[in-house]
This record gives sequence, structure tokens and C-alpha cells, in this order.
Amino acid sequence: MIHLERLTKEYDMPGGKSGTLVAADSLDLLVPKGEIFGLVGPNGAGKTTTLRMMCGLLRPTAGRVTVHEVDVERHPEDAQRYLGYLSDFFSVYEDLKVWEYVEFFARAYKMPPGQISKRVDEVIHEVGLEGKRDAFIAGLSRGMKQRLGIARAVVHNPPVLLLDEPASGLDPKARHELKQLLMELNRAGATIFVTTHILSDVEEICTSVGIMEKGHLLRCGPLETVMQEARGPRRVGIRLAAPGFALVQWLGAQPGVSGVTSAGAAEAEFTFSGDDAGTAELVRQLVAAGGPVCGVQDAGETFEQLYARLSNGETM
Amino acid sequence: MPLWENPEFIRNFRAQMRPARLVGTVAITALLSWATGYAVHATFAENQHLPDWGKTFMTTALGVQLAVLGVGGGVACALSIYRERERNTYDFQRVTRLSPIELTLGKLFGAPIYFYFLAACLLPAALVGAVAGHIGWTNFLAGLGIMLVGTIVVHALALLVSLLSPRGGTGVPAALFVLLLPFLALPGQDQSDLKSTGPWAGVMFAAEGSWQTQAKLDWQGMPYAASKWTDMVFGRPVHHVPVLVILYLTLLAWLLVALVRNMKRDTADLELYSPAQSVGLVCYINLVLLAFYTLREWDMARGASLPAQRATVFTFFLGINIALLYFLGVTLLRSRDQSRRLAHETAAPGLGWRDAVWPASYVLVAAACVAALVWTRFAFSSVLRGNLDLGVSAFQIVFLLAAVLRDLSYFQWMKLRRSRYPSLIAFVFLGAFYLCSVIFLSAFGWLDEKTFNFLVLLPLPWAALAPNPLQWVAQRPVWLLALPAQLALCALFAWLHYRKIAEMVPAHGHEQSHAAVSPATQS
Repeated sequence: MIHLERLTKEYDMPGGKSGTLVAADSLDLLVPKGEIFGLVGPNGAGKTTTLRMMCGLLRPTAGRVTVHEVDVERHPEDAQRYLGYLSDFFSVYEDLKVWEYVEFFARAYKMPPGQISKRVDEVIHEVGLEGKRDAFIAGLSRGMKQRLGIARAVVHNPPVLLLDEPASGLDPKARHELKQLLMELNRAGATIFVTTHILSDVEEICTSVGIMEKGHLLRCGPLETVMQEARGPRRVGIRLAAPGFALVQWLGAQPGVSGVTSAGAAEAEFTFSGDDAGTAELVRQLVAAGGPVCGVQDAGETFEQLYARLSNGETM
Repeated sequence: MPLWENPEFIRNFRAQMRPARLVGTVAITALLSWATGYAVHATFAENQHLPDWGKTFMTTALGVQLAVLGVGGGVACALSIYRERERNTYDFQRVTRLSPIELTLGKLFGAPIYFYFLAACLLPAALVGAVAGHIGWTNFLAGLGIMLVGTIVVHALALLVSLLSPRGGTGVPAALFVLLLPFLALPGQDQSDLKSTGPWAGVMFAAEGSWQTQAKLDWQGMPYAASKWTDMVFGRPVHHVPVLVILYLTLLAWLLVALVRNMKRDTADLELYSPAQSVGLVCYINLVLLAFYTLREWDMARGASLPAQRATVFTFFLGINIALLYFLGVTLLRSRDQSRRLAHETAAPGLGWRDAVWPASYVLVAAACVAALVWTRFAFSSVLRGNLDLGVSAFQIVFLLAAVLRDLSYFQWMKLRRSRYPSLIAFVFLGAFYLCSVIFLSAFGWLDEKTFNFLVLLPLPWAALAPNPLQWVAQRPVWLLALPAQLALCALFAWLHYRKIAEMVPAHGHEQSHAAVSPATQS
């Protein structure tokens, strides 16, 4: 569906410094149909540059992007049939009415003339702007303008949506609505490629993820796989119903267990090299040894913690 | 796609043509037209020249229409893309399925749409004047046609300036003014066999034009245009109206080529014309010059016109073409971004001498084409006077071409240096170099053509534009030494340029990113 082949973009270092700034470093990536792919990384990691190359706004220094087997650079008008693009800024024609704006893009994406009027009303309804259909855009709120931007991006029913920080600047309610809308679009068959700073959103809606820094993809793949691969030995916490059992000593004597720390009289955390089945067996043995287990928790990393660790603590 | 279905045209139409605005415009223009008509009528009635009031009223109305369309529409076009970039809406147009030509036409006719309406509101006044002034309807329509096509050319020019000025600012109006200057020329120029090229000619033709083509023979039997509305095209009389319309349309075609080429491009990748198109443009300009170049020149001593001298014709075309080739070369210079892409595509061993001497090959091709055109036109002409030393002429051409290539190689090298404004700095350095050379050489008294020496010809090769034949014979060794020196400088700058591109070649190839090994999900 979306294929990046050795995609590279280099710039001069800003401020006349020597050296080259590599915004995208020979990126290879394949995003199959139906994914919601989240690209995360700190400011300046190259996310927006990558996205702009994907939709044909920036010419790569080397490499190519294909969408539905169509080369975006060589056949831009054909490729745009499959792409819907939303940038991180709200830019709309304030001197148009809402329906005029959506209709302009429906025409510009060369939808069949007979379907335009119906589709315009449909999209305005989908993004919840039916009450503002005949209003001038200048009078809309920021959230409404963002929704209008989404209407613009999806008006031609593109199978691929490229969204650059779509939730930036939105209030929590609008963010929630946006997530719902994206998931609906995904359910309807759209492949979504989204760059974002909001890591909780990635965990919530993305099916696969890429962590980018200084033009490199540090990790990439289905969300679970990335978490699993990056996780290493798991950290497990056990809580007993009452103190009295020598939990720390018992755990210290078990194979595969290390780094046992006591978190209170009846609680301990430890690193365990086994998998889920091994954890279950360990808990069964603890109960058999007389440990009154009342709680077991996987104290592993969240995506946010994983990201912070992988990106060497750089700020988002 | 018809214009009325063009989304960009429709968007401009909707944004600018709201009913309230149109009603106000109609009311104000009607009032102003009536007041002006009344004032003109009253003035002429007072002076007892009543029959002339209509023509004056029509000329005034057409003049205002021209100003509205030319200035108002031009400014609207000049600001259209600049404003879109400022509002960040332009990117969204670039990612639509509109082709560059559709986007170009939508903007060309859409951006000034309100000014077309304003001009249309003034049309009744012009018609009333035309009827009252007993103006022939063909004159009136031809005048309107010239104005319309002429202003479309101005709009295309303004749109191009807007497109090629990504940062906007004062550069846009300044460049627009410079480019518009030739169009502001008034009728009556007799410098060539082509009459006025300004859209104002349309107003004048409506008022006092004639459809007759008039040519006469001078005392030597050479034809010349004997009317304000006759042009001499390759020595044959042709009416000015079709000539002007064809010139406008061809110029418009060249502007559209540049617009379409760049309309959806990344701003870091703008390029006025492709190399082949640039060569074509130089040939087109030469063809126009050759068509209208007058073969007669005024002899002050005899007080009569005489056939032009071969040497004068040669020097004119040599000078013009050296300037054109210089301009062509400058437009073809590669930016750091383009060179970096080239470096990635070819890698160090793949870089050849053609990359190092870029854009020399296209400048030389253009020079050969132009030389062939000029040669074909004049070599066998029996009308011209005097002789031309072919050896000297050939040497002049080669010497000046070497000088152009020297400067272009320098510009190309400088353009790849790290700087915020590399081209500007290169121009400033070169300008300073020429200025200092002139000052120093003047101080030594070496700028007198009798004492031209190697030290003059090396820094200031442009002296070769018009060498004194006697001085040429006397100082032939100096000239022959200066030529390889120019070529050596070319080679030096080409080498420096080559090093700059080679620096951009990735040293050991980029490491592939992680996802190359384990893509997101296998399909």
C-alpha cells in the first residue's frame, strides 16, 4: 500500500554550519493495507519531512515512495487519487463557505461531477459540521477548522490518509472525536499513516508504529512486536494477602529470577527471564509453597517509557 | 477541462464575486461612467467640437479599462500564489489531482476575475463613446482584443513572478515593474520595423487605427513601413494588429511553459525552463529580432537612410546573444539541492566532465543554433553594406563564448558554496571584480583600445564585442593568448565545481534504517 524505498532527504546544516542534516536516512518501510501506522519521534527527527515526501510536496534527495504501486514523484496526479493529506497547521480559505471549500477539493480531486454534491453533504455530516454548512470559514473555531481539514482530506475517499500531527492544538474533547473518526475511517478500509507527539494516542489507535530519530527508524513494526522486542526481561510484581511469608528469600532462590526488591512487608518486584507460561508456573509454585498470593502484575514499560528509553531521553 | 469547470477558477469566482460586492461595483461604475461622459460632453460642447466627444469618451473608458485590467489584474496575479504560500493553503492545492496546466489556467483567469468584471462594467461607457464617435466596429473589437490579450500576457508575467518568488517581499513588485516596463511603451517608436508592443496600442487602434497596410520604397529602392499600423516582417509589410496578437500569443505560450513547469514544484526545486526549453527560448527571441530588425540605418552625414552595415548588424546580434546566453546560463545553474541529488544518483566515479562544466553544453548548443539562424538570415543578403572579416568575427564569437562560460563556471561553483544567498554573493563578488579592474586599468591608461594588452583582455573580455580591425591585426598575439587564458580559468572553476559536487557524494552510502531489516508488517 505505502512503500518507502531508501528514501533520503538531506539538507545543509542550518546557520551555515558544516556538515549535512539528514532528515530521512535511507528509509525502507512497507505499510500494508488497513494499518494505522504511527510515526513518533522528537522535534527535528524527520517525521514531517518524511510525510511531505510521501505526499509529493518535497522531492527526495534519493529513493522513492510508491502508493498503490504508483510512484509519487513520477506520477503525482495519479498518486494523489489514493492520498489524503492533513498537515499540522489549520490553513483554509477563510473567504469561502464550508460547503464551497469541501466542494472545491472534491472537484480538485476530480470526483465524478454527479457525485460531488452528495459526497460534500456526506462528508460535512461525517465531520459534524452540518450546522455550519453555509457559514463562512472565517467564523469557525479552531476545532471546526481542523474538522474541515479532515473533510478536505477524505472528501475523495482516499484509501490512504497521511496525517501530520492531526491532534496538535485540539482540546481533549476534539482529540477524542478525532480518534473516533480515524478509527471509523480505518474500519471503513482506509490505511492511515500518522505522525504524532501524543504517545498515549499511539497506544490507543495505532496497529503498528515507527520510532524515528535523526532521520533513522530506531524501531518499526506492529505495536506489540515493537514493545516485545524492546522490552527484554520482564519486571513482575507480586503482592501477598498478609505478611509472614519470606517472599524475597523464596523468590531469590528461584531460577530465572533476579533483581528482587521488596516493596513492603508483603510485596516484591523482580526481573524474570521467562515468558507468560513461566510466570504462571512461578506463581503456582509460590502458592504451593504457602505464599498467600493475592495479586500479580506485569510491571513492564508503557510505550511512553519505551520511547523515552529508546530516544536516549530526548524531549518530545 | 473547460475554464468554467476548473475548480481553481470557480474558487476564485466564488470568493471574489459575492452578489453584494457586484451590485456595489455596478452602481459605482455606472455613476462614474455617467459623470465622466457628462463632463466630456459638456467640455466639447463648450469648445464647439461636439462630434469629437465620443472618441475622447471611448478612449478614456478604454484607458481606464486597460489600467484596471493591467494594473489591478496584474497585482492580483502577482499576489495570488504569494498569498497562498503565506496562508499555507498552497500545499493543499499541490497535492490535489489538478494538473499543473489546470492549476495555472485557474489562477491566470481566476485571480483577476473581479478586475475582468470591473472592466466589463466600463464597457457600456466605451460602447457609447464608440457609437457617438462613429468608430468602426472592427477597430473597436480589434482594440479590445489587443488590450485583452496584452493584459493576459501581463497577468501571466505577474503570476510567474509570484510563483518564482517563494519568499515574496519587495522583490515581487520590483521584479514585476521591471518585467512590465516593455509593455508600457507607447506607440510611435521607430527604432525597429516593429511598432508599439504595449497593450495601449489597442486603445490607440480603436480610436484612430487603419486597416490599410502601407509600405513605400526609399531612394535606394528598399521598402519601409509608411504607416503607424504597418510592420515590416522579414522585409515585407504586415498589418500591426495580427503581428501584435501573434507576438502576444507566442510570448504567452512561453510564459505558460514556465508556469506549468513550476506550478506544482517544490520551492527548492524551481527551474524557469528545462535546458532544451531555454535553448528554444533563445532561438525564439532571435527569430523575433531577425524578423523585425531594420536593415536601414540613418546616415547623419548624408542626411538619408542607407542600408545597414554588416559590421553593425553583426555587433548588434553578437551583443544581444551574448547577453541572452549569459541569462540562459544563469537560469540553468544548479542549486545545492539539485547537485546533491545528482551526487546521490551518480556517486563519485559516475560524475563526469559534463557535470563539472554544467551548463556549458547547453550554452554551446544555443550558441550554435543562434549562429545558424543569424547566418541564414544575413549571410546572403545583398542589401547590407560593407564586408565582415570572417576570421575576426569567428574569433570574437569564440572568445566571448569562453568569457561567458568562464563567468558561468564561476557562478556554478559559487552557487554550491554554503551561504544563505550564494548567488547574490557571487554576483556581488564578480561585480566588484569588474569594477576594480576598470578602475585599475583606467588608472594605468590601458583601457584605450590602442593599447589593449593581455592584462586588459583577461579581466575584461567584453572588449572583444567591438574590436578595432587595425588594433586586431596589430595585437593578434595578445588576443590569441587571452583566449586560452579564458579557457584555463573556465577549467579552474569547473574543477572547483567538480570538487563541490564530489563533496556531496555520500562517503560510504547511508546505513539503511532499521525497518529495512524488519518492515512494519509483511504484506
